[in-house]
Amino acid sequence: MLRFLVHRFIGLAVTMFFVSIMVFVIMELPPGDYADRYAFRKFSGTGVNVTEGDIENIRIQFGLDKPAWQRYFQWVGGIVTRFDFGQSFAFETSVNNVIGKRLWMTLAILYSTLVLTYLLAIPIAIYAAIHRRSAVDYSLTVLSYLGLALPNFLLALILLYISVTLFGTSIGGLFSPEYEKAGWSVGKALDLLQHLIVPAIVLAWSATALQLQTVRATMLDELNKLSVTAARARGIPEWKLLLKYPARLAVNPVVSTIGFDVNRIFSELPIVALVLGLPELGELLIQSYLDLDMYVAGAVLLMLTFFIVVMNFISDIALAALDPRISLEG
Amino acid sequence: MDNDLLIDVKNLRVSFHTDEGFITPVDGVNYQVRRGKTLGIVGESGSGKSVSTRALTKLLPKNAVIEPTSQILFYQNGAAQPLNITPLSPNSKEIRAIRGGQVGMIFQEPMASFSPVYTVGNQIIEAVRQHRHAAASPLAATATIGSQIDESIRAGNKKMSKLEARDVAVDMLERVGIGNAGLRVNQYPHELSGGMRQRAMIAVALSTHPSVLIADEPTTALDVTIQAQILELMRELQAELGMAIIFITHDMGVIAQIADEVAVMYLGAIVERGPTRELIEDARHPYTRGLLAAIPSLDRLDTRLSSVPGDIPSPLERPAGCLFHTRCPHRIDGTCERFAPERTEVVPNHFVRCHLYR
Repeated sequence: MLRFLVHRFIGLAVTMFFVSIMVFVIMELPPGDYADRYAFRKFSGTGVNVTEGDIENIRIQFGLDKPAWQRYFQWVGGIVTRFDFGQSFAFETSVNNVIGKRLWMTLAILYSTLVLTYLLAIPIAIYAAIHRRSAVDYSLTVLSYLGLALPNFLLALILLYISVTLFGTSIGGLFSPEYEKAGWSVGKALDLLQHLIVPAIVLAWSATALQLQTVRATMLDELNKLSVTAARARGIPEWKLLLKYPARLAVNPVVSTIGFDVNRIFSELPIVALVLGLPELGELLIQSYLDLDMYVAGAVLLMLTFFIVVMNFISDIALAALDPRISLEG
Repeated sequence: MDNDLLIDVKNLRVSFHTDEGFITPVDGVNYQVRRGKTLGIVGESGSGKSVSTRALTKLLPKNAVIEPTSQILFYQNGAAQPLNITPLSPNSKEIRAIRGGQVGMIFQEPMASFSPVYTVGNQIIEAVRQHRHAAASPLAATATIGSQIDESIRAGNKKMSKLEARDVAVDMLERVGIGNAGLRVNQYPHELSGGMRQRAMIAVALSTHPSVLIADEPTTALDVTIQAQILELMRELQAELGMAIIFITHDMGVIAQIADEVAVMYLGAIVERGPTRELIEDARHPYTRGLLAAIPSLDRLDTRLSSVPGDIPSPLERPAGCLFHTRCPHRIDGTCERFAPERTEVVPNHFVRCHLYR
């Protein structure tokens, strides 16, 4: 088991190294750099004539004149040794400051979405598989196709409308105005949870539909296994054997695709966040692209991929813990 | 009164509701299971041999119906009257006590019959704790099987502890000839070899001391040397524990090695039944003869291997009259396709359903 962990951990480190190079290359790709943008912003309309030399000075001031590989190592070095993601040009402060809270909010949305997805999809799918061809099973199939077909920004708008008109709750953002600036308290945490429900439902919507179908199909497959019949032939009570044998294996595909779910949630998050006005990383990423604020964009990209890689790592370990056939090949 | 009689099956009829219609894979089957004896059931795929034995523990798909006129009588220790399980629900307490408790089962695919994510020991312990109780002396090898379990159930004893059950599991694995059982008990099915897995499966089935063991083609998936070892093991354990075995196979050669009595099934009915030796040496039914002629033999190397001509008809199109008349080389035109043959006792205990022996 330890060897397996070490192996996977090395894999994680190597992946992150390559991801950081890719992110840096992407940061370098847009034509021009921040020096141009800065000069344009600062002096446009002021009548000042900006020369190549002036821009070059700005470039030196921001350290953008050095060769790319030097800047890469400076950047990565800062992250690894000091957890410093560099300077945000547009906000004129450190990237850490810009990202700060948004990171926690993104994680809060991510985990509440995952928890909601699995809490809904797994038990319902197992129930549907056991009661195959029942009314419940058929209506779930219809619902989950709806889940796959309905775009989630549309769902976000519908839920926003419903929650405002029917429940009178302010649902945009992650906090009610009275808690926005307040310190952490039980009230604030509850307020956060209340605001997390709508984004979590919106983001969990299609993932739940997909996982429902996966778990149901696996469960149906497992139900017909000889090992289930053999357990039945040993006189084990039905509910007990269903949970112990097929249900446990039906969870495997879910566990092994946690990383995919995280990926999908991050991809859908910016649009949903825009509609619901959530202060999170995806929205910041788009903004920083528009501003050519490369260190912010790089930090966001790096963090999002880091979470995907870490969740993949966790899903590998969880799968190995669930299925003894895997850990041995480590 | 027949004291060794454990199960008496009378006029068993099992039907399935399928999308294509109503089919009856088992129609009017009678057989008895006796303590210490082995009943062999032979037949092609689709002859109803598995269904007719799975009905004993109601281990049938949801769309199956055991006709209420069927009688499946369990003669239990101490009970004055046999228990007819036909009307009982498959999920009832009585059926679950029979499954694993009175009737153990082993299957064709030893790998598939274990769950891959639990250790072998886990699956034995599960069975042991389900059926055996703390006060019953673990593995009293000389005690008659069945009796001690029933007594402890009546006494209302507590479940056996996991540790005790683990000892039973290790002991059982040793008994089926698995070396290093203390280690094997903690291993997963994929860590055992094919033959060892089937031994372990036998250990699971016998760990609860059932009085009947149903072996559904237990050697079909194994190579010949392992097959011989498993048959030998089953014979030894039967001599030691005194349980009855129902051995299902399509292999006449295997049946000759293990069974005391053979029932030959065709399209859901027993066409011939008799003591093994008698039946093999003096088979009456054309179908049985066909099956026997299909066994490869070194004496007949120069002749082509014979087979029963034609295919088994679909259960949706069961022939009228004698079920076998569509493939029978000795068909009596005008009789066989019109009248179903009655059961005839050609010599004592040797029954056949064929118009040739009226």
